[in-house]
Amino acid sequence: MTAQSAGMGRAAAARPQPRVRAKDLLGFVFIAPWLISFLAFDLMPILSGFYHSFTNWNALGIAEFIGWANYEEALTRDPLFWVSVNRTLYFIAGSVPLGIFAAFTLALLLNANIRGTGFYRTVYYLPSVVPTVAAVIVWIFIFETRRGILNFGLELLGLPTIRWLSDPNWAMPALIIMSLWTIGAAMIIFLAGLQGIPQELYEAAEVDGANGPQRLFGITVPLMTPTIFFNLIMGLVAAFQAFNNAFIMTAGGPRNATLLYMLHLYNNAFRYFRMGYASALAVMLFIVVFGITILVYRSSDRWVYYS
Amino acid sequence: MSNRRSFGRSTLLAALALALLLGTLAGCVPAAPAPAGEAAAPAAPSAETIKVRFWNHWLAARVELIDQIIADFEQDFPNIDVENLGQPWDRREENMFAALASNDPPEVVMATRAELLKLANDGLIVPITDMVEEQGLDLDKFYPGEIGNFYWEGELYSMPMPTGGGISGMILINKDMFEAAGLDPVPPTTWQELWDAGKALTVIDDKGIVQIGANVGTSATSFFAWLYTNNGQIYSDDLRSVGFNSPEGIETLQWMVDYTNEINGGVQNVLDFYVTGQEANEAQPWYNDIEAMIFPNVSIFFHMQTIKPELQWDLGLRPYNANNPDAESHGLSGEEFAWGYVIPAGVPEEKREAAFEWIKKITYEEDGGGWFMIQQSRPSPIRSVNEDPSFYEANPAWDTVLASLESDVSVQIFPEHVRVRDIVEQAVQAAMFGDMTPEEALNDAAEQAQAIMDEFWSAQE
Amino acid sequence: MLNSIRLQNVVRRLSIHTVLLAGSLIMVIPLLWTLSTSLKTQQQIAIWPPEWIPNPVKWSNYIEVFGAAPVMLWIRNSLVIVAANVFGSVVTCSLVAYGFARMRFPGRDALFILLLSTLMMPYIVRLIPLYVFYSQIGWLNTFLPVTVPQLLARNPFFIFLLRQFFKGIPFELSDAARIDGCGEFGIWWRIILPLSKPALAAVAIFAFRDAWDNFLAPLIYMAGAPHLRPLAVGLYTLRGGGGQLPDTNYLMALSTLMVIPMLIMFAMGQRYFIRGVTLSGIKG
Repeated sequence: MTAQSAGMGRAAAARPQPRVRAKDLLGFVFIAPWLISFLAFDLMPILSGFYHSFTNWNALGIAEFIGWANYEEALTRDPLFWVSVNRTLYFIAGSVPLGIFAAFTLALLLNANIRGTGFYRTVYYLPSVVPTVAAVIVWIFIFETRRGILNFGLELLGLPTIRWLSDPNWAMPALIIMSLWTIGAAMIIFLAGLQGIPQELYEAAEVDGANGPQRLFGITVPLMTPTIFFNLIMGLVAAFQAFNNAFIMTAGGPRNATLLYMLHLYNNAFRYFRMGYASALAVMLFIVVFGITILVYRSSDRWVYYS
Repeated sequence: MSNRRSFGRSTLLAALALALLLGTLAGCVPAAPAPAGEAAAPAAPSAETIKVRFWNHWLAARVELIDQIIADFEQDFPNIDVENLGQPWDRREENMFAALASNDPPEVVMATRAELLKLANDGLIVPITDMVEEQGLDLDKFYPGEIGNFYWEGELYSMPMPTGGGISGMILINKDMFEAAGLDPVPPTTWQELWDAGKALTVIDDKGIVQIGANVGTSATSFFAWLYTNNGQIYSDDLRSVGFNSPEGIETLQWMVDYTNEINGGVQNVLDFYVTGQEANEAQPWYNDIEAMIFPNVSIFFHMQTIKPELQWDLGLRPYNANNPDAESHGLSGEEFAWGYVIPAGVPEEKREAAFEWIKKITYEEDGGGWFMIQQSRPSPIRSVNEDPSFYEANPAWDTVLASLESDVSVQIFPEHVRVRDIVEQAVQAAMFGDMTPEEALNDAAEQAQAIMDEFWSAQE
Repeated sequence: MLNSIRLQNVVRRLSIHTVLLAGSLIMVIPLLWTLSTSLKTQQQIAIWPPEWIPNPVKWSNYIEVFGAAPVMLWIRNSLVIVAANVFGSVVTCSLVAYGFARMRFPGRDALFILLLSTLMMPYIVRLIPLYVFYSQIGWLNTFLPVTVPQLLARNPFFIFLLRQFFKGIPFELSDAARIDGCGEFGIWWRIILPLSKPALAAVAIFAFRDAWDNFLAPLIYMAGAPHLRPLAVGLYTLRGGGGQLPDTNYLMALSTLMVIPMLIMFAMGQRYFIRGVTLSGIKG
């Protein structure tokens, strides 16, 4: 145990108890900007979403109350509802764990003492910064069956080529691969988190005879748990609402292989003028994401370590 | 300690200063017509000038053309001020929806025919029937397949520009490729001729299609187009029941699936072949001599002139099914695109007349909408405009184009057509991928579509 | 003995570099392709498969694009939006995050959950009501809808991120400062912020990028004001669509140009990702 951590323990015991009233007001003052923006810009639209899920609103005019009809339709009669749920879960299971793992590994690599970290960091963040319109065109080219780079690489390795965007079995893996391309943002967050780990801890551990993996799992990972927690929750929230690439590149196909939940929602809202039904879909998504987030949040007491 | 305090301030200030400096510099550009941040308050129209905001998707080179028409218009109507609000194509639906939801919507909004029908049915746009009558406009100057697209329940809601037709009635061939394959460079006129030509012109290797004769299409829109060349219909004439799962419909889809499987080697081959998607992108196979026949819309002529003027092409009407004695070559008008210009119901009474005048200019007037089409070498929905000699000079097959427009049928659709089209799309895909036979797929789709139709009509009462 | 350690080191570094370089190639290819296309004429773009190095190289596309479209105007507009977003994110969001991370008040955790939950309701169903609201208060066709919310810390992502970092700073530091008579605001400014440089740099980079590339909000809220269009929206007007030919080479030239400020911003922010700056030097 280092002097640092011993000091932390003592300070925790000696922490002065704040006076309740003054601190309360002050706390609200600090979060006031967000509170105002929430009340002004978020509260009403969110409540509107909940309310309209019980109507047949077409987004522009009349909204008749129809009770649970939208929910019933989604869960029992909409042939595409469960398809989109299935596709979205597939996407999440593929992209979130892979993404976090890859971003974390990258951050570790780029935190190491090798030359060119600045260059590499920029290059790995670059994809997040290329405008979507250009990126999509290029990705279609990359996935091309005949001349695409991916298949070219597969051939070099002696593997059979894959019809990425026209084969219903491979379209979703293609989307998952595309999502890995933009892990630069998560990587930066992990990088920032790694900066917060004091060098002394590593030095002390080395003195104590700890090797690489021991330092990694004994110091780095535990101290990175707040960041991992963040990337996990944000990753899940984003993946549940993934939309752009499926919308622009595959339009949900082929054969609904990439019909993500948000895409189905979008179609109902803006193509079919069924904003009421779309609201019901949105509410159900909200409930699921909220539930999962609460679960992760609760579990965080057990594995997230704030110093 | 003082070091750390200064970090925050200096960096922040530097960044802000830089941004402001660049912003001011960039602001010293003559193009900005109004200071940024000025709120566009809902215009309380003075008795003198009425502002008409024209929400449209005519971009790039078209912006200038629209501006010229506006200048011309404002000379005739000095008290009307038209603003050209060209909107990007992307996220069009969300954008338009939001605009219509505003408490001060644009006075003229460009919308597709399907959207127009939905808006009309829900009472969200203003009919122009009375205004047309008051001015004694002669709607016969339009092709029937064009003006027919904008009626709903007896009321007219817009006039056409550009053509809703000329989208599906034509076939274009690459004469050089035909000759190279030992064929007469003449467009096929029937399904059977198309089959034979496609067989001779398609080359496949182990990776897929190297050269394609024709892609009969793998979407609902293609299916509908072929359906009408087999004497089939999407809906019944009274719009109360579906018609696409008729024997003609099943035969059509079967033919499409057979062609795709036997001649093109399967739907995946076709999807792989067209990598760049549906945009009028220059990298399309047609411009690279690996596609022998296409079913284009009328904007192709201008594109070909721009991208590959040396292409040797010939034009025909879309092949029909020779095995069906009642089948003829028909194009469809208004099933998919067909743009209209509508007046949202939220526009106050006193501005509607002005909005209508602008709609009239951009659609009905030969020197407005007609001129706009001539500049783009595209046919106009107005017959007389299409007799302009410049069209004949630029396009030797112009008569065929006009014949196609005359034959285009204004498809009777109802406001929920987009949903039905998506359902049929599912069916076509299922048949193409072999998950269902065409009969099963179409019947399944018909069941779902009929349910929607029934729901719609019962809600109308 | 020493030789084998050195060899181990070299091998280790070499393998890291190899992996990173391979990955870099994948990351960079799309941008290279964009660059390559931006240097072609429309006829050259039509050639399939595409040539990587166009012949001849048309650098003038980069100049012509400024004439083909009001690019300077778009840039100016983008800068306004970006400035508000970056300022709001770094300053206001960190204030809010401080409140959630290091202060106690009743309902704090519940409010934090509320904050997170605003991310979970898809924007699609919130779009129209919010738009109508802006329409009623006259904010449409101004910069207000894309600047004021950012200045008011309407960004749960950043707040959450900064909260995590702030929570990781030992409470003994702020406690000590409090004993010394430092107020909460002072603690935020003098202790928490300086110790959070990497996180703040990350937030600044993200905020810049979000504002720079944001398409939907400016599209919809400023649809009636083309003179207020930022680059991200202007870019899309070059796309054509609906039977119109896109100006692909200009589109790509502009896309390439758009990447440059991002790279500058990233380079600037990256400097703060320096190891060990945080806790060393502050003892007791």
